[in-house]
Amino acid sequence: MVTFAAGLLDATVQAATVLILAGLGELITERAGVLNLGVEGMMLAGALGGFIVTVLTGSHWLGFGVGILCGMALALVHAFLCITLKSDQVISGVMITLLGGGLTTYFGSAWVEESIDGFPEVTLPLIGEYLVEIPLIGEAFFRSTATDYLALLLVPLGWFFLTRTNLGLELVSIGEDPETADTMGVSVFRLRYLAVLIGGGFAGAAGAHLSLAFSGLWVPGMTAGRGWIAVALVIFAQWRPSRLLIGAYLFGLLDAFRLRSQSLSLSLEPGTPLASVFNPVIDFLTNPQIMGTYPYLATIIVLTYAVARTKGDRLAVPDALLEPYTRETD
Amino acid sequence: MADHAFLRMEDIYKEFPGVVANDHIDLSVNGGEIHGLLGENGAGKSTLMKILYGLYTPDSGEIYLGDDRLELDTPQDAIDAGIGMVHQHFKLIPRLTVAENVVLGQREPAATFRADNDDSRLPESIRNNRVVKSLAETFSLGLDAPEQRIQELADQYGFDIDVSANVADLDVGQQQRVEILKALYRDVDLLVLDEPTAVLSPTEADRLFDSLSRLADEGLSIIFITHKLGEVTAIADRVTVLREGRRVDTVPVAETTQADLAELMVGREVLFRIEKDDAAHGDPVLEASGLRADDDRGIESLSGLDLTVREGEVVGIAGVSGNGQTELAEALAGIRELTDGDLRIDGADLTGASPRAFVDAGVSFVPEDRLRYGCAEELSVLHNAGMKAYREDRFADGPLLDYDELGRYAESLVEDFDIRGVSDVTDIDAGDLSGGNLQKLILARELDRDPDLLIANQPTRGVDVGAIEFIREAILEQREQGTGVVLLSEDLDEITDLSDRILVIYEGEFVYETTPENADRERLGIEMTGGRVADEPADAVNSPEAVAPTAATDGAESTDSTADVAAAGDGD
Amino acid sequence: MVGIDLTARENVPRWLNYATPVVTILLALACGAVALLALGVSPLAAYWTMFGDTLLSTFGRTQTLIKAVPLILAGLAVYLPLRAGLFNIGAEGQLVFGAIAGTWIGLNVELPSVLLLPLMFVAAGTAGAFLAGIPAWLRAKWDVNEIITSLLLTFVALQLQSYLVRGPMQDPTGNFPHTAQLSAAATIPEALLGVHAGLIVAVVAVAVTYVLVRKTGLGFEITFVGANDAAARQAGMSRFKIYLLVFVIGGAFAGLAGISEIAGLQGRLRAGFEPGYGFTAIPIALLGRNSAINVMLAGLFFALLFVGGSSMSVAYGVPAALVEILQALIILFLITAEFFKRYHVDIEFDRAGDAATGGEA
Repeated sequence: MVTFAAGLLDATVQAATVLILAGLGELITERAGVLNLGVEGMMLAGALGGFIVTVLTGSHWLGFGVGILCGMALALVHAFLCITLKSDQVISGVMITLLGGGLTTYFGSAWVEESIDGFPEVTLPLIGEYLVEIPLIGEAFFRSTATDYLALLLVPLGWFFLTRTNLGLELVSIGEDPETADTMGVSVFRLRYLAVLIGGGFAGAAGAHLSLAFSGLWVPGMTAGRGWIAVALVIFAQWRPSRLLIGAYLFGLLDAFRLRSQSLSLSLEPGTPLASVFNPVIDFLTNPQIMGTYPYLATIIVLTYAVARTKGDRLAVPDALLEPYTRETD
Repeated sequence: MADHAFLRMEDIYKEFPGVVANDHIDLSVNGGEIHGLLGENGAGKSTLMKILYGLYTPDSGEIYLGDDRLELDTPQDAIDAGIGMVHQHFKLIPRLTVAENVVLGQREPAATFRADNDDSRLPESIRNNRVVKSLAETFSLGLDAPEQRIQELADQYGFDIDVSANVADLDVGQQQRVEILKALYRDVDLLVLDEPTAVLSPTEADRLFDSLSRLADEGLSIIFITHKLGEVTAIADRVTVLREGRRVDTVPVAETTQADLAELMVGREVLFRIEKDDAAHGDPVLEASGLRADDDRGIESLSGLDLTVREGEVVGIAGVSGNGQTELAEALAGIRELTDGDLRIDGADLTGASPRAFVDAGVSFVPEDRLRYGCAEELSVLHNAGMKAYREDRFADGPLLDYDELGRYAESLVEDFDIRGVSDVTDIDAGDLSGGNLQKLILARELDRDPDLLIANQPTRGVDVGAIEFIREAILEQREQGTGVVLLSEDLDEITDLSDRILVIYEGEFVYETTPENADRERLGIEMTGGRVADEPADAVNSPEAVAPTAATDGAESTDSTADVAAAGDGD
Repeated sequence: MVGIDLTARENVPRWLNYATPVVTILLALACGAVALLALGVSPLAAYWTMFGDTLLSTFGRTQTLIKAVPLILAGLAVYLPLRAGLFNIGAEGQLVFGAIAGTWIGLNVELPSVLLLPLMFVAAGTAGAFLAGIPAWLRAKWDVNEIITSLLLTFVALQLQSYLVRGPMQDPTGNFPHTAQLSAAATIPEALLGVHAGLIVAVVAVAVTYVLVRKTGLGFEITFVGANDAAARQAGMSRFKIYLLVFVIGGAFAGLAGISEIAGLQGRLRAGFEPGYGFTAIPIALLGRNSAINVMLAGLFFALLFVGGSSMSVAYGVPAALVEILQALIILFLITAEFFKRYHVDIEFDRAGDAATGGEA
């Protein structure tokens, strides 16, 4: 049981890192008023770009950096379409996901055979050795890849950026009311580009983590919907970094658990009263595929609850999300 | 005359397609002066101020502030020059705090990095390093020092504001004070307030006047846009009156009376004289009692109105925009929810009924905001002509809608109402029509239904001269056929020419009733603007429980997209 | 100094409406040509194989029509809400729901074909309508964004399908993630030219949609609500009714797409049976947004792209992913073109200080 829990937590941390990275980027993009549904495609680009460079150079960090750049390259397309050309953000995003899928399948076909040693798992300097000894969570949290630590570090940084820096304040303001921000001297177009590029970079990083640390392989379509979960996660978190962290672990735990639920029977002992009633229900609810719907259902419920509770006033969603900005001229 | 003036706007000319919004206007404001800018909707006040704030570029004319000639291309230029503006629709971000709203765009670094912080642990040389400075301004944010300064400003002028509160948690009066603080924080020398009392209750308005006087005493120049006479006489030193894009006069307040100002503002010339016959008034078609309703922001804007309209009677409702007309018209058309009161059409209780029930009961509606409620711009003339008629049996072709018949119907409306610019009813969109022709189309659609009750809100606003006459004739024709008409207009001539009975609405209440025969323009002008009349008890005009309504709905803003409406409705 | 001046077009010139999709597609093909050249394949020959050979061969035409069935139906599922101003990006999920429900009936109900097939279609349509009804209801009732909810429900549907074909609906005779083979009675018969009768369903759906939108009072209301819901309300139309209606009908069409793909072509429901028809439906609806007929044409074009793409990839050893890229490019160019339709862009090379720049720089 203890080994099961420790293994579960370890898998949770790994799954959560992907969601934290992609989700945090998406959160920053959306706070600036741009919805990016291309996360999945950008993650794939990051995964492949990072993988190829790591195979060629042997450097994980170089690969990670290139992964980020690949994500940003696709994000630039999205930014150009949505900010400069004021295209529909939804269509642009969906198409970038398709484009990212197609491009990575096309260029990645030669790399499917390759494999690398993943990012090494390390302990933190100085105190790491002791932290690992903590029962249950020690190994899971404190013997991880550098990117796991990085993701964890980025959450408070992201929070600090959005709430405690001038740039963050301006970024939030253009997601709320670009017209007002513009009259206050904030450069709406430049900052929206920045936000979309940050989001793309984070998505690329999430993808690179997936191929470099998580699997050590490149498989077409290897993100397997995690980009969409990241989009859902931002809504689930109601656009707050702290809740995003919680949500990422929650969704990560679900992900880890559903892959392991078979090995752990939660059914009641035969003969227990009502076992025949509860057991099929428990089996159904803990089925891996059924558990795969939970993040989406939870997000719909959170979204609906938030809207219904406030009757549409003062929602957490950035006011100007999905709205292209055009400066009023005479 | 303006040699010693602080601000001089000289010979400002601005034309929108089809409309001259500012026709060679001069305006001068002295240092430390509160200057009233008075005029009806569409007089050109807002256009002039948008030019001053860099939102519009004038076609010709010059602006001087102090000794400098200003080139204002963006609001930022105006801010840099020391001009601040408090818009009617606040430019505040509700989710941010007061301090964050004030410093947005100012790039205040964290305390450690501030050049003026003597307690900082960082040596001054590092703080003054350009790279460090720019990094600190980008990647840190210090609110302590700004909050302190904002608090000082607030205290100085008697604003009770919690600088760390979210703007969303403040009431409108406080939000307005935040707007003023924003300007003060940027050390403005000239502050423009666009109809600042429109969103305030009378007590809040008094507090605002108090603060403005103190600001002026400190040497700040203030331009105060309004269409309420009482406010001008209460606070301004001088007042400039605009009418139809021209400056009528600039007078010291001490040397004038409210009656003089009303005359200057409303004017005397009468555009049209329409002969109307006496019509017999029949049974009541509309009986409304105790109507209460909120505006889009949830502020009460109808405070218990009673209104009865009989067959063949035109009841004109005069008032300056923003006193509840929009909400009244919408409530009578069934598209604004009542918070209290009863509404009967032809004797049937329609309180709380759906918009469809009002349509079916024979209520026709000519909305003030044509583009929002009156039509679908991107759809054809056929669609817009048939917007209500499509349900009628004559257009049914089995289970299908007979578009051919609908087309013929639209063509007949185009013909009968002389709607120009429609070569093909299926090919021309409503948005392609000029303001006047679009209004004729809407009127045609609403009148052709042979309504029992017609609600017409500003039916001739932004409409060309030829169409105005046509529309007024059509309304009178409808009256002769026994339709009860509620005519809401800011145009006094229109009201006196068409109405059988005149009611003046002010702050959501009817404050005065008269007939065209007995109507005295000056008296009407004073009542509309909340002015005091000697023989009238003061509380009839300025009821204490009345909450001031807002001047414009959000929808009115959307009309700005079309130039002619934007110019005509620039009072928003 | 270069100033870019943007002004919104008041009227889109008529020729631009027609020229846009054509130019767009040509530009995207030109981009694809670069990739083909890089692979050492002659673009002209490859494109001839892709379009010419496909259209000229009976096999190619048949395959294109078969592919077009789900694409057209799913395209309508996006198109109809679009007419009312709503965005249904969950056609994929509605399609899967329809496939599940229809297949379940097909596997578990014993009836003669004339009764069973209609029952399967009704079940599929109902299931698609149900899934589409959720975002519509949430939007109509509480203004919950329908884009997000319809998208999320798609992933719910995909997971549910994956569960069913591995669990309750799994083929008992094997261990593969698919259902048992549908019986002959539950298989859609061939209609003409080797194309199953799902094609007739698709054509009827196009006709129904066309008539509904263009010829009925309801269609009048749909159009009006989509163009200006405030004015529609003033005229006494019910936004709630219209929002539900367009999504429910659209979802039903997507459901029909699902079952016709299973019962007409694949014979059994398997995990991942549909290669993103529901997502391809978005650009199809966008291309054909002026009328249901255009949706049909756009559906046929994308079917040609799919089928021709795979023949090209077989003939020249070009990766199939290239076709996917080509599709995405066409769509991206298309939304770029939308911009030029909506705005005049004047690029001015002028003296500094004299620049009357617009909002964009």
